Amino acid sequence: MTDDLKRQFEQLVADPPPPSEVPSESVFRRVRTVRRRRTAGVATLAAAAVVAVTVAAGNLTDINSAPPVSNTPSAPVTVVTAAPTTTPSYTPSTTTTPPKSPTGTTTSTNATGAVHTPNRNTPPPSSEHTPVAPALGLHLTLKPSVKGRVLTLKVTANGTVRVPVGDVTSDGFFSVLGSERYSFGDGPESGSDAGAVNCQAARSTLTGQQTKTLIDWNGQAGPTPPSNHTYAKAGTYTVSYTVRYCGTNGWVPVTKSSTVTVK
Amino acid sequence: MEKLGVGMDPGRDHEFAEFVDGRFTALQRFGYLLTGEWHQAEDLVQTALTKVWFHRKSLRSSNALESYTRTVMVNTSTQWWRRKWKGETPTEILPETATTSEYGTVDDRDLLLRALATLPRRTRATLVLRYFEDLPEAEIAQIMGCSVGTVKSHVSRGLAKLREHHLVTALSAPAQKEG
Repeated sequence: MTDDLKRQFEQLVADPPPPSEVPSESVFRRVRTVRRRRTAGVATLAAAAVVAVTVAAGNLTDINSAPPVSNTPSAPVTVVTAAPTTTPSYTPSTTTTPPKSPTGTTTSTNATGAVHTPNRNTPPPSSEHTPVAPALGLHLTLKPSVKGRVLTLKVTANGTVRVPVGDVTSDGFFSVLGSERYSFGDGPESGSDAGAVNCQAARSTLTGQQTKTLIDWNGQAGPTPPSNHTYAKAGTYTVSYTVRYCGTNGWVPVTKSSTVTVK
Repeated sequence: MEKLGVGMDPGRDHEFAEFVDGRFTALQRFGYLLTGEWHQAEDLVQTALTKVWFHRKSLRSSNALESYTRTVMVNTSTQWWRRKWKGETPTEILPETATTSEYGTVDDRDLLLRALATLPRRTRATLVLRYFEDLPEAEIAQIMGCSVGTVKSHVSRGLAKLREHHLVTALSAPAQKEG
Protein backbone atom coordinates (compact mmCIF):
# COMPACT_ATOMS: atom_id res chain seq x y z
CA MET A 1 0.00 0.00 0.00
CA THR A 2 2.74 2.42 0.88
CA ASP A 3 4.40 2.02 -2.47
CA ASP A 4 1.09 2.67 -4.18
CA LEU A 5 0.54 5.68 -1.99
CA LYS A 6 3.95 7.01 -2.79
CA ARG A 7 3.31 6.46 -6.48
CA GLN A 8 0.01 8.26 -6.27
CA PHE A 9 1.67 11.13 -4.43
CA GLU A 10 4.28 11.38 -7.14
CA GLN A 11 1.65 11.30 -9.85
CA LEU A 12 -0.24 13.97 -8.03
CA VAL A 13 2.70 16.38 -8.07
CA ALA A 14 4.18 15.21 -11.35
CA ASP A 15 3.44 18.36 -13.32
CA PRO A 16 3.78 21.40 -11.08
CA PRO A 17 3.15 24.75 -12.75
CA PRO A 18 6.19 26.90 -13.25
CA PRO A 19 6.65 29.55 -10.59
CA SER A 20 5.14 32.89 -11.49
CA GLU A 21 8.55 34.55 -11.10
CA VAL A 22 12.00 33.78 -9.88
CA PRO A 23 11.37 32.23 -6.49
CA SER A 24 14.15 34.03 -4.69
CA GLU A 25 12.99 37.38 -6.04
CA SER A 26 9.48 36.82 -4.79
CA VAL A 27 10.77 35.67 -1.40
CA PHE A 28 13.08 38.65 -1.00
CA ARG A 29 10.28 40.98 -2.01
CA ARG A 30 8.20 39.54 0.80
CA VAL A 31 11.14 39.89 3.16
CA ARG A 32 11.49 43.55 2.29
CA THR A 33 7.77 44.08 2.79
CA VAL A 34 7.90 42.44 6.21
CA ARG A 35 10.91 44.51 7.21
CA ARG A 36 9.18 47.71 6.15
CA ARG A 37 6.12 46.77 8.18
CA ARG A 38 8.26 45.96 11.19
CA THR A 39 10.16 49.23 10.84
CA ALA A 40 6.92 51.13 10.50
CA GLY A 41 5.56 49.33 13.52
CA VAL A 42 8.64 50.17 15.55
CA ALA A 43 8.49 53.77 14.39
CA THR A 44 4.83 53.96 15.29
CA LEU A 45 5.50 52.52 18.71
CA ALA A 46 8.38 54.92 19.22
CA ALA A 47 6.26 57.87 18.17
CA ALA A 48 3.47 56.73 20.47
CA ALA A 49 5.96 56.36 23.29
CA VAL A 50 7.33 59.85 22.65
CA VAL A 51 3.83 61.28 22.63
CA ALA A 52 2.95 59.44 25.82
CA VAL A 53 6.09 60.64 27.56
CA THR A 54 5.51 64.17 26.34
CA VAL A 55 1.96 64.17 27.59
CA ALA A 56 3.02 62.69 30.88
CA ALA A 57 5.85 65.19 31.26
CA GLY A 58 3.52 68.04 30.42
CA ASN A 59 1.21 66.83 33.10
CA LEU A 60 3.99 66.84 35.67
CA THR A 61 4.91 70.43 36.10
CA ASP A 62 5.35 70.71 39.80
CA ILE A 63 8.72 70.54 41.43
CA ASN A 64 7.99 67.11 42.79
CA SER A 65 6.48 65.96 39.50
CA ALA A 66 3.04 66.31 40.96
CA PRO A 67 0.22 66.93 38.55
CA PRO A 68 -0.74 70.54 38.32
CA VAL A 69 -3.87 71.87 39.89
CA SER A 70 -6.10 73.24 37.25
CA ASN A 71 -7.66 76.55 37.93
CA THR A 72 -11.16 75.52 37.05
CA PRO A 73 -13.62 77.53 39.06
CA SER A 74 -16.37 74.95 38.71
CA ALA A 75 -14.16 72.04 39.59
CA PRO A 76 -14.67 70.52 43.01
CA VAL A 77 -12.00 71.28 45.51
CA THR A 78 -10.79 68.45 47.64
CA VAL A 79 -10.31 69.46 51.23
CA VAL A 80 -9.38 66.82 53.75
CA THR A 81 -10.69 67.63 57.15
CA ALA A 82 -8.41 66.54 59.91
CA ALA A 83 -7.36 67.61 63.33
CA PRO A 84 -5.51 70.87 63.06
CA THR A 85 -1.87 70.10 63.46
CA THR A 86 -0.38 73.18 61.94
CA THR A 87 -0.62 76.83 62.70
CA PRO A 88 -2.25 78.86 60.00
CA SER A 89 0.37 80.55 57.96
CA TYR A 90 -1.62 83.78 57.75
CA THR A 91 -0.41 86.31 60.30
CA PRO A 92 -1.93 89.74 60.46
CA SER A 93 0.38 92.67 60.45
CA THR A 94 -1.38 94.49 63.24
CA THR A 95 -0.88 93.93 66.92
CA THR A 96 -4.43 92.87 67.53
CA THR A 97 -5.24 89.39 68.73
CA PRO A 98 -4.21 86.85 66.06
CA PRO A 99 -7.23 85.23 64.44
CA LYS A 100 -7.81 81.67 65.31
CA SER A 101 -8.50 79.02 62.73
CA PRO A 102 -12.08 79.77 61.87
CA THR A 103 -13.18 76.25 61.10
CA GLY A 104 -10.53 74.13 62.67
CA THR A 105 -9.80 72.54 59.34
CA THR A 106 -6.58 72.36 57.49
CA THR A 107 -5.46 70.89 54.26
CA SER A 108 -3.44 67.86 55.09
CA THR A 109 -0.75 66.84 52.69
CA ASN A 110 0.08 63.65 54.52
CA ALA A 111 -3.46 62.43 54.39
CA THR A 112 -3.68 62.56 50.65
CA GLY A 113 -0.07 62.14 49.72
CA ALA A 114 -0.41 65.06 47.42
CA VAL A 115 1.73 68.15 47.52
CA HIS A 116 0.14 70.94 49.47
CA THR A 117 -1.13 73.63 47.23
CA PRO A 118 -3.28 76.50 48.26
CA ASN A 119 -6.82 76.59 47.13
CA ARG A 120 -6.48 78.53 43.96
CA ASN A 121 -10.14 79.30 43.91
CA THR A 122 -9.56 81.38 47.00
CA PRO A 123 -7.51 84.46 46.40
CA PRO A 124 -4.34 84.59 48.43
CA PRO A 125 -4.16 86.90 51.40
CA SER A 126 -3.55 90.38 50.20
CA SER A 127 -0.62 92.31 51.52
CA GLU A 128 -2.78 95.41 51.62
CA HIS A 129 -4.87 95.15 54.73
CA THR A 130 -7.81 97.27 55.62
CA PRO A 131 -6.64 100.17 57.73
CA VAL A 132 -7.30 99.50 61.35
CA ALA A 133 -7.96 102.44 63.63
CA PRO A 134 -5.24 102.79 66.24
CA ALA A 135 -6.25 102.00 69.76
CA LEU A 136 -7.25 104.92 71.90
CA GLY A 137 -4.75 105.77 74.59
CA LEU A 138 -2.53 108.43 76.02
CA HIS A 139 1.05 108.23 77.16
CA LEU A 140 2.66 110.79 79.43
CA THR A 141 6.32 111.52 79.96
CA LEU A 142 7.66 113.77 82.70
CA LYS A 143 11.03 115.38 82.29
CA PRO A 144 12.06 117.28 85.42
CA SER A 145 15.02 119.62 85.37
CA VAL A 146 16.36 120.95 88.67
CA LYS A 147 18.70 123.88 89.03
CA GLY A 148 19.33 124.65 92.64
CA ARG A 149 15.88 124.68 94.14
CA VAL A 150 14.17 125.60 90.90
CA LEU A 151 12.35 122.81 89.09
CA THR A 152 11.36 123.01 85.47
CA LEU A 153 8.97 120.24 84.65
CA LYS A 154 8.16 119.36 81.07
CA VAL A 155 5.41 116.94 80.21
CA THR A 156 4.94 115.21 76.91
CA ALA A 157 1.64 113.69 75.90
CA ASN A 158 1.26 111.47 72.87
CA GLY A 159 -1.34 109.01 71.74
CA THR A 160 -4.71 108.78 70.08
CA VAL A 161 -7.75 110.25 71.65
CA ARG A 162 -11.27 111.11 70.63
CA VAL A 163 -11.85 114.77 69.90
CA PRO A 164 -14.52 116.09 72.24
CA VAL A 165 -17.22 118.25 70.83
CA GLY A 166 -17.42 121.84 72.05
CA ASP A 167 -15.10 124.71 72.80
CA VAL A 168 -11.90 123.09 71.68
CA THR A 169 -9.03 125.34 70.89
CA SER A 170 -6.70 124.62 68.09
CA ASP A 171 -3.42 125.19 69.81
CA GLY A 172 -2.09 121.71 69.95
CA PHE A 173 -2.67 118.18 71.17
CA PHE A 174 -3.23 119.31 74.76
CA SER A 175 -6.26 121.27 73.61
CA VAL A 176 -8.24 118.05 72.95
CA LEU A 177 -7.39 116.72 76.40
CA GLY A 178 -9.55 117.27 79.41
CA SER A 179 -8.90 118.83 82.74
CA GLU A 180 -5.48 118.45 84.25
CA ARG A 181 -4.10 118.42 87.76
CA TYR A 182 -0.50 118.46 88.74
CA SER A 183 1.53 118.87 91.87
CA PHE A 184 5.18 119.71 92.48
CA GLY A 185 5.26 117.95 95.80
CA ASP A 186 4.87 120.98 97.92
CA GLY A 187 2.34 123.75 97.87
CA PRO A 188 -1.13 123.57 96.35
CA GLU A 189 -2.05 121.68 93.21
CA SER A 190 -2.28 123.45 89.92
CA GLY A 191 -4.39 122.68 86.95
CA SER A 192 -7.18 123.60 84.61
CA ASP A 193 -10.58 122.34 83.64
CA ALA A 194 -11.67 121.12 80.25
CA GLY A 195 -14.11 123.82 79.63
CA ALA A 196 -17.44 123.39 77.83
CA VAL A 197 -16.66 120.21 75.89
CA ASN A 198 -18.65 117.03 75.46
CA CYS A 199 -16.85 113.72 75.30
CA GLN A 200 -19.97 111.57 74.80
CA ALA A 201 -20.73 113.20 71.45
CA ALA A 202 -17.18 112.74 70.18
CA ARG A 203 -16.89 110.89 66.86
CA SER A 204 -13.53 111.68 65.37
CA THR A 205 -10.15 110.69 66.74
CA LEU A 206 -6.84 112.48 66.76
CA THR A 207 -3.33 111.10 67.01
CA GLY A 208 -0.72 113.54 68.12
CA GLN A 209 2.08 114.55 70.45
CA GLN A 210 2.88 117.73 72.28
CA THR A 211 5.26 118.87 74.99
CA LYS A 212 4.75 121.75 77.32
CA THR A 213 6.24 123.16 80.49
CA LEU A 214 3.99 123.16 83.48
CA ILE A 215 3.15 126.49 84.99
CA ASP A 216 3.33 126.96 88.71
CA TRP A 217 0.17 128.82 89.51
CA ASN A 218 1.03 128.57 93.14
CA GLY A 219 -2.60 128.66 94.07
CA GLN A 220 -3.24 131.96 92.43
CA ALA A 221 -3.78 133.15 88.96
CA GLY A 222 -1.53 135.85 87.82
CA PRO A 223 -0.81 137.60 84.56
CA THR A 224 2.66 136.18 84.30
CA PRO A 225 2.84 132.92 86.13
CA PRO A 226 6.27 131.33 86.28
CA SER A 227 7.02 128.27 84.15
CA ASN A 228 8.98 126.67 86.96
CA HIS A 229 8.62 125.87 90.62
CA THR A 230 10.91 126.94 93.42
CA TYR A 231 11.15 124.73 96.43
CA ALA A 232 11.44 126.32 99.82
CA LYS A 233 13.92 123.82 101.10
CA ALA A 234 16.01 120.93 99.95
CA GLY A 235 14.57 117.50 99.90
CA THR A 236 13.04 114.83 97.78
CA TYR A 237 9.70 115.58 96.24
CA THR A 238 7.25 113.64 94.18
CA VAL A 239 5.79 115.43 91.23
CA SER A 240 2.67 114.15 89.58
CA TYR A 241 0.66 115.08 86.56
CA THR A 242 -2.88 113.89 85.80
CA VAL A 243 -4.80 114.63 82.65
CA ARG A 244 -7.93 113.16 81.15
CA TYR A 245 -8.53 112.23 77.60
CA CYS A 246 -11.75 111.38 75.82
CA GLY A 247 -11.98 107.66 75.42
CA THR A 248 -14.62 105.31 74.11
CA ASN A 249 -16.74 105.42 77.19
CA GLY A 250 -15.96 108.93 78.41
CA TRP A 251 -13.16 110.69 80.14
CA VAL A 252 -10.17 108.55 81.12
CA PRO A 253 -7.63 109.91 83.61
CA VAL A 254 -3.94 109.25 83.09
CA THR A 255 -1.42 109.97 85.84
CA LYS A 256 2.33 110.15 85.68
CA SER A 257 4.61 110.70 88.68
CA SER A 258 8.30 111.35 89.11
CA THR A 259 10.71 112.01 91.96
CA VAL A 260 13.03 115.00 92.10
CA THR A 261 15.73 115.73 94.59
CA VAL A 262 16.48 119.28 95.52
CA LYS A 263 19.69 120.02 97.34
CA MET B 1 21.58 37.48 -7.63
CA GLU B 2 23.44 39.88 -5.37
CA LYS B 3 20.87 42.52 -6.02
CA LEU B 4 18.28 40.31 -4.40
CA GLY B 5 19.96 40.44 -1.05
CA VAL B 6 18.17 42.36 1.66
CA GLY B 7 20.38 41.56 4.61
CA MET B 8 23.67 42.84 5.88
CA ASP B 9 25.51 39.68 4.83
CA PRO B 10 25.62 39.32 1.02
CA GLY B 11 27.16 35.87 1.31
CA ARG B 12 24.32 34.53 3.38
CA ASP B 13 21.78 36.20 1.11
CA HIS B 14 23.39 34.57 -1.89
CA GLU B 15 23.38 31.18 -0.19
CA PHE B 16 19.75 31.58 0.81
CA ALA B 17 18.78 32.65 -2.73
CA GLU B 18 20.47 29.56 -4.13
CA PHE B 19 18.57 27.38 -1.70
CA VAL B 20 15.26 29.01 -2.63
CA ASP B 21 15.78 28.75 -6.34
CA GLY B 22 17.13 25.22 -6.12
CA ARG B 23 14.56 23.71 -3.80
CA PHE B 24 11.50 25.75 -4.64
CA THR B 25 9.89 23.16 -6.89
CA ALA B 26 10.34 20.38 -4.36
CA LEU B 27 8.93 22.57 -1.64
CA GLN B 28 6.09 23.56 -3.91
CA ARG B 29 5.18 19.91 -4.42
CA PHE B 30 5.25 19.35 -0.70
CA GLY B 31 3.05 22.39 -0.28
CA TYR B 32 0.65 21.10 -2.88
CA LEU B 33 0.18 17.87 -0.96
CA LEU B 34 -0.46 19.93 2.15
CA THR B 35 -2.92 22.33 0.58
CA GLY B 36 -4.26 20.62 -2.52
CA GLU B 37 -3.82 23.76 -4.62
CA TRP B 38 -0.79 24.77 -6.64
CA HIS B 39 -1.14 28.54 -6.21
CA GLN B 40 -1.85 28.13 -2.56
CA ALA B 41 1.17 25.88 -2.38
CA GLU B 42 3.34 28.56 -3.98
CA ASP B 43 2.00 31.10 -1.53
CA LEU B 44 2.68 28.70 1.31
CA VAL B 45 6.27 28.15 0.19
CA GLN B 46 6.97 31.85 -0.21
CA THR B 47 5.44 32.61 3.18
CA ALA B 48 7.45 29.90 4.84
CA LEU B 49 10.68 30.95 3.16
CA THR B 50 10.07 34.53 4.26
CA LYS B 51 9.75 33.37 7.84
CA VAL B 52 12.82 31.21 7.48
CA TRP B 53 14.90 34.10 6.15
CA PHE B 54 14.55 35.96 9.45
CA HIS B 55 15.85 32.92 11.32
CA ARG B 56 18.43 31.74 8.79
CA LYS B 57 21.38 32.78 10.95
CA SER B 58 20.47 30.21 13.57
CA LEU B 59 20.51 27.40 11.03
CA ARG B 60 23.87 25.77 10.56
CA SER B 61 23.49 23.82 7.31
CA SER B 62 21.42 23.64 4.16
CA ASN B 63 19.84 20.41 5.40
CA ALA B 64 18.72 22.17 8.53
CA LEU B 65 17.45 25.01 6.36
CA GLU B 66 15.26 22.71 4.30
CA SER B 67 14.08 20.77 7.31
CA TYR B 68 13.20 23.97 9.11
CA THR B 69 11.41 25.20 5.98
CA ARG B 70 9.23 22.10 5.95
CA THR B 71 8.48 22.64 9.62
CA VAL B 72 7.39 26.17 8.93
CA MET B 73 5.29 25.02 6.01
CA VAL B 74 3.49 22.42 8.12
CA ASN B 75 2.85 24.90 10.92
CA THR B 76 1.75 27.63 8.53
CA SER B 77 -0.64 25.37 6.68
CA THR B 78 -2.07 24.26 10.01
CA GLN B 79 -2.52 27.90 11.01
CA TRP B 80 -4.26 28.67 7.75
CA TRP B 81 -6.55 25.70 8.22
CA ARG B 82 -7.33 26.74 11.80
CA ARG B 83 -8.22 30.21 10.58
CA LYS B 84 -10.74 28.63 8.25
CA TRP B 85 -9.41 30.74 5.43
CA LYS B 86 -11.31 29.23 2.57
CA GLY B 87 -13.07 32.26 1.17
CA GLU B 88 -10.88 32.88 -1.84
CA THR B 89 -8.88 30.19 -3.52
CA PRO B 90 -6.62 31.27 -6.33
CA THR B 91 -7.21 29.25 -9.47
CA GLU B 92 -6.67 29.71 -13.17
CA ILE B 93 -9.63 27.59 -14.25
CA LEU B 94 -13.13 27.86 -12.92
CA PRO B 95 -14.03 24.75 -10.95
CA GLU B 96 -16.35 22.37 -12.70
CA THR B 97 -18.88 20.03 -11.31
CA ALA B 98 -17.75 16.50 -10.72
CA THR B 99 -18.05 14.30 -13.74
CA THR B 100 -16.86 10.87 -14.65
CA SER B 101 -13.54 11.07 -16.35
CA GLU B 102 -12.28 8.74 -18.96
CA TYR B 103 -8.83 9.05 -17.59
CA GLY B 104 -8.39 6.92 -14.55
CA THR B 105 -5.23 8.69 -13.49
CA VAL B 106 -7.04 11.97 -13.30
CA ASP B 107 -9.78 10.33 -11.28
CA ASP B 108 -7.23 8.82 -8.97
CA ARG B 109 -5.61 12.20 -8.41
CA ASP B 110 -8.93 13.78 -7.65
CA LEU B 111 -9.88 10.97 -5.31
CA LEU B 112 -6.57 11.14 -3.50
CA LEU B 113 -6.86 14.89 -3.06
CA ARG B 114 -10.39 14.48 -1.70
CA ALA B 115 -9.21 11.78 0.64
CA LEU B 116 -6.35 13.92 1.85
CA ALA B 117 -8.72 16.80 2.39
CA THR B 118 -10.67 14.73 4.88
CA LEU B 119 -7.62 14.19 7.06
CA PRO B 120 -6.57 16.44 9.87
CA ARG B 121 -3.81 18.80 8.86
CA ARG B 122 -1.08 17.25 10.93
CA THR B 123 -2.09 13.75 9.98
CA ARG B 124 -2.02 14.76 6.34
CA ALA B 125 1.40 16.35 6.76
CA THR B 126 2.67 13.24 8.50
CA LEU B 127 1.52 11.00 5.66
CA VAL B 128 3.11 13.25 3.07
CA LEU B 129 6.38 13.38 4.94
CA ARG B 130 6.36 9.63 5.48
CA TYR B 131 5.26 8.34 2.08
CA PHE B 132 6.18 11.16 -0.28
CA GLU B 133 9.35 12.55 1.23
CA ASP B 134 10.38 9.12 2.57
CA LEU B 135 11.55 10.63 5.82
CA PRO B 136 12.14 8.42 8.83
CA GLU B 137 9.78 8.76 11.73
CA ALA B 138 12.41 10.38 13.91
CA GLU B 139 12.96 13.19 11.42
CA ILE B 140 9.23 13.55 10.95
CA ALA B 141 8.86 13.87 14.70
CA GLN B 142 11.51 16.60 14.66
CA ILE B 143 9.77 18.46 11.87
CA MET B 144 6.35 18.09 13.41
CA GLY B 145 7.59 18.95 16.84
CA CYS B 146 6.17 15.85 18.42
CA SER B 147 7.25 12.43 19.58
CA VAL B 148 7.89 9.40 17.38
CA GLY B 149 4.89 7.70 18.94
CA THR B 150 2.71 10.56 17.87
CA VAL B 151 4.06 10.25 14.35
CA LYS B 152 3.19 6.55 14.32
CA SER B 153 -0.25 7.35 15.60
CA HIS B 154 -0.79 9.94 12.86
CA VAL B 155 0.40 7.51 10.20
CA SER B 156 -1.83 4.73 11.43
CA ARG B 157 -4.95 6.84 11.67
CA GLY B 158 -4.21 8.53 8.34
CA LEU B 159 -3.88 5.25 6.49
CA ALA B 160 -7.03 3.94 8.12
CA LYS B 161 -8.86 7.02 6.98
CA LEU B 162 -7.62 6.66 3.43
CA ARG B 163 -8.72 3.06 3.30
CA GLU B 164 -12.26 4.18 3.89
CA HIS B 165 -12.24 5.86 0.50
CA HIS B 166 -12.86 4.07 -2.70
CA LEU B 167 -9.45 4.65 -4.20
CA VAL B 168 -7.56 3.55 -1.17
CA THR B 169 -9.71 0.53 -0.56
CA ALA B 170 -8.56 -0.68 -3.93
CA LEU B 171 -5.12 -0.72 -2.53
CA SER B 172 -3.72 -3.77 -1.00
CA ALA B 173 -3.94 -4.51 2.65
CA PRO B 174 -1.70 -2.39 4.84
CA ALA B 175 1.79 -3.65 4.87
CA GLN B 176 4.25 -3.28 7.66
CA LYS B 177 6.37 -0.27 6.92
CA GLU B 178 9.79 -0.53 8.32
CA GLY B 179 11.58 2.39 9.44
